[in-house]
Amino acid sequence: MFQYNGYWATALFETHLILTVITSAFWEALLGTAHGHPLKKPEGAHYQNQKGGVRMINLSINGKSYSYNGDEDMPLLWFIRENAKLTGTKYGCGIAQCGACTVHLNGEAVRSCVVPMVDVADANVETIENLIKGETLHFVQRAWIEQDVPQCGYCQSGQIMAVVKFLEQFPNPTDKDIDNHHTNICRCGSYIEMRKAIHLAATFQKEGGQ
Amino acid sequence: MMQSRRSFLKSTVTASGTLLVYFNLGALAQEQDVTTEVKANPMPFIEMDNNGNITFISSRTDMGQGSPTSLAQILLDEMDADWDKLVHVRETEETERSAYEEGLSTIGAISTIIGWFNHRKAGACLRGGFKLAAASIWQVDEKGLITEKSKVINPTNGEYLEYHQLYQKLSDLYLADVPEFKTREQATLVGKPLRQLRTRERVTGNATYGIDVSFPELKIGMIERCPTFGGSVKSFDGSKAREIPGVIDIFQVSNGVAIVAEGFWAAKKGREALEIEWDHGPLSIVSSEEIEKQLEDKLVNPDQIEKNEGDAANELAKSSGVKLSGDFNFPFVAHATMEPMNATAWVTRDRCEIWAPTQCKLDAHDQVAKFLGRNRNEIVLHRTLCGGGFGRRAQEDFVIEAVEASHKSGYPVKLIWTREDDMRHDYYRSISKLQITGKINDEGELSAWDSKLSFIDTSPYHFSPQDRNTKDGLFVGHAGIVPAYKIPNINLSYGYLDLPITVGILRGISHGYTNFAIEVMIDRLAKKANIDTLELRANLLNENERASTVIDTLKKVDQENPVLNGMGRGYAFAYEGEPGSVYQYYSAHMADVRHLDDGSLKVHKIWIVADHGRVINPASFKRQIHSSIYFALSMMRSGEITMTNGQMEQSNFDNYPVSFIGEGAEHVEIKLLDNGAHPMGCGEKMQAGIQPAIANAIENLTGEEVNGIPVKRLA
Repeated sequence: MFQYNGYWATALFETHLILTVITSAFWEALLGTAHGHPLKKPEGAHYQNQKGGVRMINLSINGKSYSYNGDEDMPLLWFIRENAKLTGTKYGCGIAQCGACTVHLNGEAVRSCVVPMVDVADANVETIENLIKGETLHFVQRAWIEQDVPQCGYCQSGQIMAVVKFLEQFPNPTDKDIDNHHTNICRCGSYIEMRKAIHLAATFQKEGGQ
Repeated sequence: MMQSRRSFLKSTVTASGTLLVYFNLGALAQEQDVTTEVKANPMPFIEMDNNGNITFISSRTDMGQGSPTSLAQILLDEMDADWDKLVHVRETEETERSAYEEGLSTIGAISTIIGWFNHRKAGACLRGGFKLAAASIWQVDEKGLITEKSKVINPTNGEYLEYHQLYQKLSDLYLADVPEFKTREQATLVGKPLRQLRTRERVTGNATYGIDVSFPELKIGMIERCPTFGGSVKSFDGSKAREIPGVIDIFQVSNGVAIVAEGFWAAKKGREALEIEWDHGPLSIVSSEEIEKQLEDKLVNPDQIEKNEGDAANELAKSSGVKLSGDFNFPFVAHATMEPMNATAWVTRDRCEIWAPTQCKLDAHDQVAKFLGRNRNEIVLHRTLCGGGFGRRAQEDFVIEAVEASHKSGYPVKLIWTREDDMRHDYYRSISKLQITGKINDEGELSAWDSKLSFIDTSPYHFSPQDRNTKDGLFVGHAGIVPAYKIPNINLSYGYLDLPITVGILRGISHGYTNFAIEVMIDRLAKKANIDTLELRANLLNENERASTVIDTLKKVDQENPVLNGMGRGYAFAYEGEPGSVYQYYSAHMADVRHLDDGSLKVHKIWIVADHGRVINPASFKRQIHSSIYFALSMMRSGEITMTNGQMEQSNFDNYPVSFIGEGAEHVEIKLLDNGAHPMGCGEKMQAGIQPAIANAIENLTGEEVNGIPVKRLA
């Protein structure tokens, strides 16, 4: 097992319960209503705060096991980027507005910039790097290439991760479905090409493509 | 083929057997009649390995605008290379300004304009060189040989040699200074809608932006900057911040207090625990309203007369004709690139290495050298991919910050701006005001035009250090104030406020507000005089063939698409440059707007007719127009940064929203005239025409004036 010893080994546990409550409420209030992908608190995220002890958070990212015992308030995004060194997942806003940090957490699309580490104990996380199987691109990635969607490309990892889950929910999406439920920001405005790619990806999905 | 001792191209075969081909500025300088000898430091622009695989070395920043792909198309087309053998793109590592006759800055649509000279010539020279090399092997006249897909072919016997079989010979040859260019009909890549070069990296998470730079020793830095513009640190206490696990160092820097930590989160938490006393400076009592008052004064007391021909005051005083005045207001606008500002620097005693997502690599390099007081050659600056640019990354402030943080801490530091930092410490498009009075005389001519503009002095912050605090540094604040229209009596003036607020270039620069006001006034005047607004524009532009053609083309589009019930339609024209210059574009815009059930306004359709000369990649060009529409709509709907007590109020996408996927135009139709004139990119240029066309459509739909942005009812 890959063991990671965080820098935050002496986290302030007296305050962390309060912090957790704040962040979770913040997260649900913000995301549960304002964004297309309802976020559920991951199952198995129960924990006991043992005063004076350092609790180890175990999680899996792209099938690889990680342990973390630093600041439980740290957003998952920074664990993914800095600890697991998977930089395909991007920082854009830190408040779950833009979606550049979208990953799959226990099978659901979440904005990892507001998911605290305390909520991902025993969770399965998948990032953009895990979408490709061997040399075979995911069908959403294929559609993205077919329509040549990216401009700067910075938001596209998050866009693609969001669309993978969107298409599970809306296998035959209308333009209206896309407008209402795909809420990731692309500042380059690659949306016209993206809309075509989403429809194309839906046809690939129906054909049963990876 | 003409040969010269001073070849435009130089090629060498490296130790590993790779061909490196260079531009040679000496030859270029000669062609441009520059008499002084320029010592050339050659710029590598292509590599070819011994299987014929090609690496394109991008001279320009890749921030999504597509120019690296277009430049590769120009080069590989002209050299008749096989596009499928283009397997890799990398950023140029050149450090010297003298290598390029200009500073590699990626701004203002110049990539394609200059690329059409340099990359095209390089390709043609190279193609000629391969033919010469093959001719010498076969002992035939090179004039009888043809090239195709990285091969030189002898059509008389079908024999061929591939380019990579020839490049060893190439380095012995003097290549032509005046090569033979392919005709338009012979083009194989230019004009083709080829895919962008880095798409696969970008959809797999493998593209490396500035913020992704990583190596084991690297620490994360953040700066707490004074929230008030022009303020400074009075004192600070970092003791609480030091208790945050992961915080390594805290120290004062030029524009605030820096924190260096093991990771982003520790840096952020540490920064939140800093206790800083600020000297908020003179702006602490200044808000947007106060700035607007000062801008109002500047309309009356301008600093500069830009143009004064005929007698506008006298013509406007006459009672004949139709006269109208309009006042327009534009707020500060932020860039909000998806990748917030960041840079990585490692400063040691004798070396400084930097990784930066910059639009102005060499300017940034110069300024780092100046900041550290070191020689340029002790500094290495790697340019990375950029997560959007829109002009923000033309400034070097974020690079200097990283250098200072590393220099003072001794660590290699990736200095990251949070979104809040990025939005509150931007180089904004200046807040501005325009007042235009125009007149159409009884003959239906635009007989007088009086235009006053005010903005915040851009020159102290101009992206190009050499233009700072000069008259040229003001250009980005007033560009576009001169209408293309025939106007016998014209007076144009502008004034600027000296305020310590960082203002700079933002996609389309000042054309976004100057052309907005011009085009709305033209429409209002035409309507008041009962003249068809497109007809008026056509008449006023009839001496400029390219301008007339875009208007005439839009007239046809207009006739073919009658306005539907419930729609308001508006038009706008946009241009830059003058006949004879390579820097010219013309575009005509038409927008239909309708009411939604909730009373908001929806852009139903936008038509754009564009003449940007020959089109290198039509797919890329159209993608930029699509992009521009969303960008223009974001700005028009909610692109408003306001200042209270010297501090910017907006901080993130929740209070400075940008367009979602459903917030564009419902339909877009584009006509590229592609007339063969010198090519020009369009990344920023559409910002001049889209908003005024929509504004005119809204005025026609609602009967209400649109006197600037934001238009909060836009859906």
